[in-house]
Amino acid sequence: MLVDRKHIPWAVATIAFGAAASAWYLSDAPRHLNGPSGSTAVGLTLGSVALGIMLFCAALSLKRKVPHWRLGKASTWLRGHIWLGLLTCLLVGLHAAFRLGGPMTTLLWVLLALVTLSGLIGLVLQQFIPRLLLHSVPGETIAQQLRRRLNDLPMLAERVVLQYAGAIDTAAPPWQDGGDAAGQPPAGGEPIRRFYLDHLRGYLAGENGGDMRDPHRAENLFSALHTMTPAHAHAGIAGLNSIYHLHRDLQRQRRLMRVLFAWLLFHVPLSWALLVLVAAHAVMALRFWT
Amino acid sequence: MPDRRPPDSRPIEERFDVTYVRRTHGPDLANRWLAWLVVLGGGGLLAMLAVRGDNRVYSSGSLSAVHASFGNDCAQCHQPAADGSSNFFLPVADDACLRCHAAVEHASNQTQFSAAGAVVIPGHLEPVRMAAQCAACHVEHRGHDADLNLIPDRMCVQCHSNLSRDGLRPAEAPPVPDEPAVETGP
Repeated sequence: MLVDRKHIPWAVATIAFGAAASAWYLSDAPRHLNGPSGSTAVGLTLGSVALGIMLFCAALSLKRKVPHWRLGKASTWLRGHIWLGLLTCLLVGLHAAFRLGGPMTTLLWVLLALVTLSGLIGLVLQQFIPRLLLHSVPGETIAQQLRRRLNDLPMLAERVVLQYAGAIDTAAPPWQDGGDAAGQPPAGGEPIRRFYLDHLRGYLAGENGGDMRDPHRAENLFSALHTMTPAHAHAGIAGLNSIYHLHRDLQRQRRLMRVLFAWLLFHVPLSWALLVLVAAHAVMALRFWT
Repeated sequence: MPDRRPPDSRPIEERFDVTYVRRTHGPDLANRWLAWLVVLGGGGLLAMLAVRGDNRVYSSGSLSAVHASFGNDCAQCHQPAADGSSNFFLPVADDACLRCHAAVEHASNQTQFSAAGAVVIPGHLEPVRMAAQCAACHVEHRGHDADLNLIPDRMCVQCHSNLSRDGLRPAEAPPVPDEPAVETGP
Protein backbone atom coordinates (compact mmCIF):
# COMPACT_ATOMS: atom_id res chain seq x y z
CA MET A 1 0.00 0.00 0.00
CA LEU A 2 1.59 3.21 -1.17
CA VAL A 3 0.99 6.25 0.99
CA ASP A 4 -0.41 8.75 -1.50
CA ARG A 5 -3.01 11.52 -1.72
CA LYS A 6 -5.84 9.11 -1.10
CA HIS A 7 -4.64 8.81 2.48
CA ILE A 8 -5.20 12.50 3.20
CA PRO A 9 -8.93 12.23 4.07
CA TRP A 10 -8.13 9.33 6.37
CA ALA A 11 -5.33 11.27 8.06
CA VAL A 12 -7.57 14.30 8.54
CA ALA A 13 -10.38 12.19 9.97
CA THR A 14 -8.01 10.36 12.30
CA ILE A 15 -6.55 13.60 13.62
CA ALA A 16 -10.00 15.14 14.05
CA PHE A 17 -11.38 12.13 15.86
CA GLY A 18 -8.28 11.93 18.03
CA ALA A 19 -8.57 15.59 18.93
CA ALA A 20 -12.25 15.19 19.80
CA ALA A 21 -11.55 12.16 21.97
CA SER A 22 -8.72 14.00 23.74
CA ALA A 23 -10.91 17.03 24.36
CA TRP A 24 -13.66 14.85 25.78
CA TYR A 25 -11.17 13.09 28.03
CA LEU A 26 -9.64 16.35 29.27
CA SER A 27 -13.02 17.91 29.97
CA ASP A 28 -14.16 14.86 31.92
CA ALA A 29 -10.98 14.15 33.86
CA PRO A 30 -11.42 16.80 36.62
CA ARG A 31 -14.88 15.48 37.44
CA HIS A 32 -13.54 12.29 38.95
CA LEU A 33 -12.31 12.27 42.49
CA ASN A 34 -9.74 9.60 41.82
CA GLY A 35 -8.73 10.97 38.45
CA PRO A 36 -9.57 9.56 35.06
CA SER A 37 -9.44 5.82 34.57
CA GLY A 38 -10.76 3.07 32.37
CA SER A 39 -13.77 2.52 34.60
CA THR A 40 -15.32 5.95 34.08
CA ALA A 41 -17.97 6.46 31.41
CA VAL A 42 -15.48 8.21 29.14
CA GLY A 43 -12.81 5.59 29.79
CA LEU A 44 -15.19 2.74 29.08
CA THR A 45 -16.45 4.38 25.91
CA LEU A 46 -12.98 5.06 24.55
CA GLY A 47 -11.88 1.55 25.46
CA SER A 48 -14.89 0.06 23.70
CA VAL A 49 -14.22 2.12 20.59
CA ALA A 50 -10.59 0.99 20.63
CA LEU A 51 -11.71 -2.63 20.91
CA GLY A 52 -14.11 -2.15 18.03
CA ILE A 53 -11.31 -0.75 15.89
CA MET A 54 -9.10 -3.71 16.78
CA LEU A 55 -11.85 -6.06 15.63
CA PHE A 56 -12.13 -4.12 12.38
CA CYS A 57 -8.36 -4.36 11.86
CA ALA A 58 -8.52 -8.12 12.47
CA ALA A 59 -11.38 -8.40 10.01
CA LEU A 60 -9.00 -7.46 7.19
CA SER A 61 -7.44 -10.91 7.25
CA LEU A 62 -10.88 -12.52 7.31
CA LYS A 63 -12.15 -10.37 4.44
CA ARG A 64 -9.42 -11.76 2.19
CA LYS A 65 -10.88 -15.22 2.63
CA VAL A 66 -14.22 -14.17 1.14
CA PRO A 67 -13.34 -11.86 -1.78
CA HIS A 68 -16.61 -12.77 -3.50
CA TRP A 69 -18.67 -11.16 -0.74
CA ARG A 70 -17.93 -7.70 -2.19
CA LEU A 71 -17.28 -5.97 1.11
CA GLY A 72 -15.59 -2.97 -0.44
CA LYS A 73 -12.27 -2.29 -2.04
CA ALA A 74 -9.24 -3.88 -0.49
CA SER A 75 -7.37 -0.58 -0.67
CA THR A 76 -10.06 1.15 1.36
CA TRP A 77 -9.94 -1.58 3.98
CA LEU A 78 -6.17 -1.29 4.13
CA ARG A 79 -6.24 2.48 4.54
CA GLY A 80 -8.77 2.07 7.33
CA HIS A 81 -6.59 -0.61 8.88
CA ILE A 82 -3.59 1.72 8.92
CA TRP A 83 -5.20 4.94 10.13
CA LEU A 84 -7.70 3.49 12.57
CA GLY A 85 -4.96 1.26 13.89
CA LEU A 86 -2.89 4.35 14.67
CA LEU A 87 -5.89 6.01 16.28
CA THR A 88 -6.27 2.97 18.55
CA CYS A 89 -2.99 3.82 20.25
CA LEU A 90 -4.32 7.20 21.31
CA LEU A 91 -7.69 5.81 22.38
CA VAL A 92 -6.04 3.12 24.48
CA GLY A 93 -3.84 5.73 26.11
CA LEU A 94 -6.85 7.88 27.00
CA HIS A 95 -8.76 4.82 28.20
CA ALA A 96 -5.92 3.83 30.53
CA ALA A 97 -5.21 7.43 31.55
CA PHE A 98 -1.69 6.72 30.28
CA ARG A 99 -1.00 4.32 33.15
CA LEU A 100 0.54 0.89 32.78
CA GLY A 101 -1.66 -0.66 35.47
CA GLY A 102 -1.20 -4.28 36.48
CA PRO A 103 0.40 -7.30 34.79
CA MET A 104 -2.28 -7.83 32.17
CA THR A 105 -2.58 -4.20 31.13
CA THR A 106 1.18 -3.77 31.03
CA LEU A 107 1.40 -6.77 28.72
CA LEU A 108 -1.33 -5.25 26.57
CA TRP A 109 0.67 -2.04 26.29
CA VAL A 110 3.74 -4.00 25.18
CA LEU A 111 1.76 -5.97 22.61
CA LEU A 112 0.09 -2.85 21.28
CA ALA A 113 3.46 -1.17 20.88
CA LEU A 114 4.92 -4.21 19.07
CA VAL A 115 1.92 -4.58 16.78
CA THR A 116 1.94 -0.89 15.90
CA LEU A 117 5.69 -0.84 15.36
CA SER A 118 5.67 -3.94 13.17
CA GLY A 119 2.79 -2.50 11.18
CA LEU A 120 4.66 0.75 10.60
CA ILE A 121 7.77 -1.18 9.55
CA GLY A 122 5.68 -3.12 7.05
CA LEU A 123 4.17 0.08 5.73
CA VAL A 124 7.63 1.57 5.21
CA LEU A 125 8.86 -1.57 3.45
CA GLN A 126 5.89 -1.44 1.11
CA GLN A 127 6.87 2.04 -0.02
CA PHE A 128 10.05 0.96 -1.77
CA ILE A 129 10.39 -2.82 -2.08
CA PRO A 130 7.66 -3.27 -4.70
CA ARG A 131 9.18 -0.42 -6.71
CA LEU A 132 12.59 -2.04 -6.34
CA LEU A 133 11.15 -5.29 -7.64
CA LEU A 134 9.63 -3.53 -10.60
CA HIS A 135 12.78 -1.72 -11.68
CA SER A 136 15.58 -4.08 -10.70
CA VAL A 137 13.99 -7.48 -11.22
CA PRO A 138 12.88 -7.63 -14.87
CA GLY A 139 12.45 -11.39 -14.68
CA GLU A 140 10.05 -11.20 -11.73
CA THR A 141 7.55 -14.02 -11.53
CA ILE A 142 4.59 -14.91 -9.33
CA ALA A 143 5.82 -15.49 -5.78
CA GLN A 144 4.32 -18.98 -5.61
CA GLN A 145 6.16 -19.96 -8.81
CA LEU A 146 9.62 -18.92 -7.62
CA ARG A 147 10.78 -22.29 -6.40
CA ARG A 148 9.56 -24.13 -9.48
CA ARG A 149 11.16 -21.64 -11.85
CA LEU A 150 14.47 -21.75 -9.99
CA ASN A 151 14.45 -25.56 -9.97
CA ASP A 152 13.80 -25.64 -13.72
CA LEU A 153 16.75 -23.44 -14.71
CA PRO A 154 19.52 -26.07 -14.29
CA MET A 155 17.51 -28.46 -16.43
CA LEU A 156 17.00 -25.81 -19.13
CA ALA A 157 20.69 -24.95 -19.09
CA GLU A 158 21.65 -28.60 -19.54
CA ARG A 159 19.32 -28.85 -22.53
CA VAL A 160 21.07 -25.91 -24.16
CA VAL A 161 24.48 -27.42 -23.49
CA LEU A 162 23.39 -30.79 -24.86
CA GLN A 163 22.01 -29.14 -27.96
CA TYR A 164 25.22 -27.29 -28.73
CA ALA A 165 27.89 -29.46 -27.10
CA GLY A 166 26.61 -33.01 -26.92
CA ALA A 167 27.09 -34.93 -23.67
CA ILE A 168 27.84 -32.95 -20.53
CA ASP A 169 29.57 -35.53 -18.37
CA THR A 170 30.98 -38.90 -19.18
CA ALA A 171 27.62 -40.35 -18.02
CA ALA A 172 25.11 -39.03 -20.52
CA PRO A 173 21.81 -37.66 -19.06
CA PRO A 174 18.60 -39.44 -20.12
CA TRP A 175 17.40 -36.58 -22.33
CA GLN A 176 20.64 -36.41 -24.31
CA ASP A 177 19.82 -35.71 -27.91
CA GLY A 178 22.75 -33.61 -29.13
CA GLY A 179 25.43 -34.61 -31.52
CA ASP A 180 25.57 -35.49 -35.15
CA ALA A 181 24.62 -38.74 -36.77
CA ALA A 182 27.91 -40.37 -35.76
CA GLY A 183 27.34 -39.56 -32.09
CA GLN A 184 30.04 -36.87 -31.99
CA PRO A 185 29.36 -33.55 -30.21
CA PRO A 186 28.55 -30.59 -32.44
CA ALA A 187 31.54 -28.63 -33.67
CA GLY A 188 32.60 -25.69 -31.51
CA GLY A 189 30.52 -26.82 -28.55
CA GLU A 190 33.36 -27.82 -26.26
CA PRO A 191 33.90 -24.26 -24.86
CA ILE A 192 30.23 -24.15 -24.00
CA ARG A 193 30.46 -27.47 -22.22
CA ARG A 194 33.53 -26.42 -20.26
CA PHE A 195 31.97 -23.07 -19.37
CA TYR A 196 28.86 -24.84 -18.09
CA LEU A 197 30.80 -27.37 -16.04
CA ASP A 198 33.35 -24.92 -14.64
CA HIS A 199 31.08 -21.96 -13.85
CA LEU A 200 27.38 -22.08 -14.57
CA ARG A 201 26.35 -25.45 -13.15
CA GLY A 202 27.72 -24.69 -9.69
CA TYR A 203 26.13 -21.24 -9.73
CA LEU A 204 22.71 -22.57 -10.70
CA ALA A 205 23.00 -25.24 -8.01
CA GLY A 206 23.51 -22.55 -5.42
CA GLU A 207 27.09 -23.32 -4.57
CA ASN A 208 28.94 -20.55 -2.78
CA GLY A 209 31.84 -18.79 -4.42
CA GLY A 210 32.57 -18.80 -8.12
CA ASP A 211 32.96 -16.04 -10.66
CA MET A 212 29.31 -16.07 -11.69
CA ARG A 213 28.25 -14.38 -8.46
CA ASP A 214 29.84 -11.15 -9.65
CA PRO A 215 27.81 -9.88 -12.62
CA HIS A 216 30.81 -8.07 -14.12
CA ARG A 217 32.98 -11.18 -14.03
CA ALA A 218 30.10 -13.21 -15.39
CA GLU A 219 29.72 -10.73 -18.23
CA ASN A 220 33.44 -11.06 -19.01
CA LEU A 221 33.14 -14.84 -19.05
CA PHE A 222 30.21 -14.72 -21.45
CA SER A 223 32.12 -12.28 -23.69
CA ALA A 224 35.14 -14.57 -23.71
CA LEU A 225 32.92 -17.55 -24.50
CA HIS A 226 31.46 -15.57 -27.36
CA THR A 227 34.85 -15.13 -28.97
CA MET A 228 35.81 -18.78 -28.48
CA THR A 229 32.77 -20.26 -30.20
CA PRO A 230 31.61 -20.26 -33.82
CA ALA A 231 28.68 -18.13 -34.90
CA HIS A 232 26.16 -20.97 -34.95
CA ALA A 233 26.75 -21.53 -31.23
CA HIS A 234 26.06 -17.92 -30.24
CA ALA A 235 22.35 -18.62 -29.88
CA GLY A 236 23.22 -21.19 -27.26
CA ILE A 237 25.39 -18.68 -25.41
CA ALA A 238 22.49 -16.21 -25.52
CA GLY A 239 20.26 -18.90 -24.07
CA LEU A 240 22.68 -19.57 -21.21
CA ASN A 241 23.02 -15.83 -20.65
CA SER A 242 19.27 -15.42 -20.31
CA ILE A 243 19.13 -18.36 -17.91
CA TYR A 244 21.91 -16.79 -15.84
CA HIS A 245 20.19 -13.40 -15.65
CA LEU A 246 16.81 -14.96 -14.89
CA HIS A 247 18.41 -16.92 -12.04
CA ARG A 248 19.89 -13.70 -10.63
CA ASP A 249 16.54 -11.95 -10.89
CA LEU A 250 14.64 -14.73 -9.20
CA GLN A 251 17.16 -14.93 -6.37
CA ARG A 252 16.90 -11.20 -5.84
CA GLN A 253 13.13 -11.44 -5.95
CA ARG A 254 13.25 -14.20 -3.34
CA ARG A 255 15.41 -12.09 -1.01
CA LEU A 256 13.23 -9.00 -1.36
CA MET A 257 10.04 -10.96 -0.86
CA ARG A 258 11.43 -12.56 2.27
CA VAL A 259 11.96 -9.07 3.68
CA LEU A 260 8.53 -8.00 2.46
CA PHE A 261 6.82 -10.96 4.17
CA ALA A 262 9.00 -11.35 7.27
CA TRP A 263 7.40 -8.53 9.19
CA LEU A 264 4.02 -10.23 8.85
CA LEU A 265 5.32 -13.16 10.90
CA PHE A 266 5.53 -10.74 13.83
CA HIS A 267 2.57 -8.52 13.07
CA VAL A 268 -0.14 -11.13 12.54
CA PRO A 269 0.49 -13.48 15.50
CA LEU A 270 1.10 -10.57 17.87
CA SER A 271 -2.14 -8.97 16.69
CA TRP A 272 -4.08 -12.11 17.49
CA ALA A 273 -2.40 -12.33 20.89
CA LEU A 274 -3.40 -8.73 21.53
CA LEU A 275 -6.97 -9.46 20.55
CA VAL A 276 -7.27 -12.50 22.81
CA LEU A 277 -5.83 -10.70 25.81
CA VAL A 278 -7.87 -7.55 25.21
CA ALA A 279 -11.02 -9.68 25.22
CA ALA A 280 -9.96 -11.26 28.52
CA HIS A 281 -9.11 -7.84 29.94
CA ALA A 282 -12.49 -6.39 28.94
CA VAL A 283 -14.42 -9.25 30.52
CA MET A 284 -12.43 -9.33 33.75
CA ALA A 285 -12.28 -5.54 34.14
CA LEU A 286 -16.05 -5.41 33.98
CA ARG A 287 -16.23 -8.29 36.39
CA PHE A 288 -14.14 -6.53 39.02
CA TRP A 289 -15.52 -3.08 38.32
CA THR A 290 -16.19 -1.09 41.46
CA MET B 1 19.11 -5.49 -21.28
CA PRO B 2 19.66 -9.22 -21.59
CA ASP B 3 16.62 -11.29 -22.45
CA ARG B 4 15.15 -13.02 -19.41
CA ARG B 5 13.20 -15.56 -21.41
CA PRO B 6 15.14 -18.82 -21.30
CA PRO B 7 14.87 -21.18 -24.24
CA ASP B 8 11.97 -23.35 -23.15
CA SER B 9 9.77 -25.14 -25.63
CA ARG B 10 7.57 -26.83 -23.03
CA PRO B 11 3.86 -25.99 -22.91
CA ILE B 12 2.85 -23.46 -20.28
CA GLU B 13 1.22 -26.00 -17.98
CA GLU B 14 4.61 -27.69 -17.67
CA ARG B 15 6.54 -24.49 -17.22
CA PHE B 16 4.31 -23.21 -14.43
CA ASP B 17 2.37 -24.84 -11.64
CA VAL B 18 -1.14 -23.81 -12.68
CA THR B 19 -2.73 -25.33 -9.56
CA TYR B 20 -0.92 -23.00 -7.18
CA VAL B 21 -4.10 -21.01 -6.48
CA ARG B 22 -5.56 -24.01 -4.68
CA ARG B 23 -2.76 -24.08 -2.12
CA THR B 24 -1.78 -21.68 0.63
CA HIS B 25 1.44 -19.83 0.05
CA GLY B 26 4.31 -20.72 2.40
CA PRO B 27 4.50 -17.44 4.33
CA ASP B 28 0.70 -17.34 4.66
CA LEU B 29 0.75 -20.87 6.00
CA ALA B 30 3.43 -19.97 8.53
CA ASN B 31 1.39 -16.96 9.61
CA ARG B 32 -1.69 -19.08 10.03
CA TRP B 33 0.11 -21.68 12.14
CA LEU B 34 1.74 -19.05 14.34
CA ALA B 35 -1.54 -17.21 14.82
CA TRP B 36 -3.34 -20.39 15.86
CA LEU B 37 -0.48 -21.27 18.17
CA VAL B 38 -0.69 -17.90 19.84
CA VAL B 39 -4.47 -17.92 20.15
CA LEU B 40 -4.64 -21.45 21.51
CA GLY B 41 -1.63 -20.97 23.75
CA GLY B 42 -2.82 -17.67 25.16
CA GLY B 43 -6.39 -18.85 25.50
CA GLY B 44 -5.24 -22.04 27.15
CA LEU B 45 -3.12 -20.15 29.66
CA LEU B 46 -6.01 -17.86 30.57
CA ALA B 47 -8.34 -20.83 30.88
CA MET B 48 -5.88 -22.55 33.20
CA LEU B 49 -5.73 -19.48 35.41
CA ALA B 50 -9.51 -19.28 35.42
CA VAL B 51 -9.85 -22.90 36.46
CA ARG B 52 -7.41 -22.35 39.31
CA GLY B 53 -9.27 -19.22 40.32
CA ASP B 54 -6.10 -17.16 40.02
CA ASN B 55 -7.09 -13.62 39.04
CA ARG B 56 -3.92 -11.84 40.11
CA VAL B 57 -2.90 -11.25 36.53
CA TYR B 58 -5.93 -8.99 36.06
CA SER B 59 -5.05 -6.76 39.01
CA SER B 60 -4.97 -3.08 38.07
CA GLY B 61 -2.00 -2.44 40.33
CA SER B 62 -0.27 -3.72 43.44
CA LEU B 63 -2.03 -3.50 46.79
CA SER B 64 -1.00 -1.21 49.61
CA ALA B 65 1.25 -2.60 52.32
CA VAL B 66 -1.61 -2.93 54.84
CA HIS B 67 -3.56 -5.24 52.52
CA ALA B 68 -0.61 -7.03 50.95
CA SER B 69 -0.95 -9.99 53.31
CA PHE B 70 -4.01 -11.20 51.44
CA GLY B 71 -2.97 -9.78 48.09
CA ASN B 72 -3.24 -13.20 46.49
CA ASP B 73 -6.88 -13.56 47.41
CA CYS B 74 -9.04 -11.20 45.42
CA ALA B 75 -12.17 -12.58 47.06
CA GLN B 76 -11.27 -10.90 50.35
CA CYS B 77 -12.56 -7.65 48.88
CA HIS B 78 -14.20 -8.52 45.57
CA GLN B 79 -17.37 -10.36 46.42
CA PRO B 80 -20.66 -11.06 44.69
CA ALA B 81 -23.47 -8.63 45.32
CA ALA B 82 -25.18 -9.14 48.65
CA ASP B 83 -28.60 -9.48 47.05
CA GLY B 84 -27.35 -12.47 45.08
CA SER B 85 -28.35 -10.89 41.79
CA SER B 86 -25.19 -12.00 40.06
CA ASN B 87 -22.20 -14.15 40.83
CA PHE B 88 -20.28 -12.84 37.82
CA PHE B 89 -19.77 -9.24 38.91
CA LEU B 90 -17.49 -8.82 41.91
CA PRO B 91 -17.53 -5.23 43.09
CA VAL B 92 -15.99 -4.07 46.35
CA ALA B 93 -18.96 -3.57 48.67
CA ASP B 94 -18.75 -1.86 52.04
CA ASP B 95 -19.37 -5.19 53.76
CA ALA B 96 -15.91 -6.36 52.69
CA CYS B 97 -14.28 -3.38 54.39
CA LEU B 98 -16.53 -3.50 57.47
CA ARG B 99 -15.48 -7.07 58.21
CA CYS B 100 -12.20 -5.69 59.49
CA HIS B 101 -12.66 -1.93 59.82
CA ALA B 102 -15.05 -0.42 62.32
CA ALA B 103 -15.87 2.52 60.12
CA VAL B 104 -17.88 5.26 61.84
CA GLU B 105 -19.46 8.41 60.51
CA HIS B 106 -16.74 10.67 59.24
CA ALA B 107 -18.66 13.83 60.23
CA SER B 108 -21.70 14.53 62.43
CA ASN B 109 -23.84 15.82 59.59
CA GLN B 110 -22.60 13.27 57.15
CA THR B 111 -25.20 12.49 54.55
CA GLN B 112 -23.29 11.38 51.55
CA PHE B 113 -21.57 8.27 52.75
CA SER B 114 -24.08 6.86 55.11
CA ALA B 115 -26.01 4.60 52.82
CA ALA B 116 -25.37 2.39 49.93
CA GLY B 117 -26.25 3.74 46.52
CA ALA B 118 -25.46 6.90 44.67
CA VAL B 119 -26.36 10.26 46.15
CA VAL B 120 -26.91 13.34 44.06
CA ILE B 121 -25.90 16.57 45.74
CA PRO B 122 -28.53 19.14 44.86
CA GLY B 123 -28.59 22.86 45.29
CA HIS B 124 -26.13 25.50 44.31
CA LEU B 125 -23.34 23.08 43.73
CA GLU B 126 -22.92 21.32 40.45
CA PRO B 127 -24.82 18.08 40.70
CA VAL B 128 -22.21 15.48 41.38
CA ARG B 129 -23.04 11.87 41.70
CA MET B 130 -20.91 10.34 44.41
CA ALA B 131 -20.73 6.70 45.24
CA ALA B 132 -21.58 6.00 48.81
CA GLN B 133 -18.87 3.38 49.16
CA CYS B 134 -15.68 3.11 51.11
CA ALA B 135 -13.84 2.41 47.89
CA ALA B 136 -15.01 5.70 46.42
CA CYS B 137 -12.45 7.57 48.50
CA HIS B 138 -10.20 4.88 49.92
CA VAL B 139 -8.88 3.57 46.62
CA GLU B 140 -6.73 0.48 46.51
CA HIS B 141 -4.41 -0.90 43.81
CA ARG B 142 -2.35 2.29 43.87
CA GLY B 143 0.91 0.67 44.80
CA HIS B 144 2.64 -0.76 47.86
CA ASP B 145 3.39 2.63 49.42
CA ALA B 146 -0.08 4.13 48.98
CA ASP B 147 -1.77 5.34 52.19
CA LEU B 148 -5.47 4.59 52.12
CA ASN B 149 -6.07 7.13 54.89
CA LEU B 150 -4.63 9.90 52.80
CA ILE B 151 -7.67 11.35 51.08
CA PRO B 152 -6.96 14.17 48.65
CA ASP B 153 -8.48 17.52 49.53
CA ARG B 154 -10.54 17.50 46.40
CA MET B 155 -12.67 14.76 47.90
CA CYS B 156 -13.87 17.24 50.49
CA VAL B 157 -13.76 20.33 48.35
CA GLN B 158 -16.08 18.67 45.86
CA CYS B 159 -18.88 19.49 48.28
CA HIS B 160 -17.36 21.87 50.79
CA SER B 161 -15.86 24.36 48.40
CA ASN B 162 -17.32 27.40 50.15
CA LEU B 163 -17.59 26.96 53.92
CA SER B 164 -19.33 30.30 54.54
CA ARG B 165 -21.93 29.53 51.90
CA ASP B 166 -22.42 26.14 53.41
CA GLY B 167 -23.23 27.73 56.74
CA LEU B 168 -19.96 27.36 58.52
CA ARG B 169 -17.33 29.99 59.09
CA PRO B 170 -13.85 28.57 59.38
CA ALA B 171 -13.53 29.99 62.91
CA GLU B 172 -16.89 28.56 63.94
CA ALA B 173 -16.37 25.15 62.49
CA PRO B 174 -16.59 22.54 65.21
CA PRO B 175 -13.35 20.76 65.84
CA VAL B 176 -13.06 17.52 64.00
CA PRO B 177 -12.98 14.72 66.56
CA ASP B 178 -9.98 12.50 66.56
CA GLU B 179 -10.56 9.59 64.27
CA PRO B 180 -11.01 6.47 66.37
CA ALA B 181 -8.39 3.80 65.95
CA VAL B 182 -9.16 1.45 63.17
CA GLU B 183 -9.90 -1.98 64.50
CA THR B 184 -8.40 -4.74 62.53
CA GLY B 185 -8.96 -8.33 63.21
CA PRO B 186 -10.13 -11.56 61.79
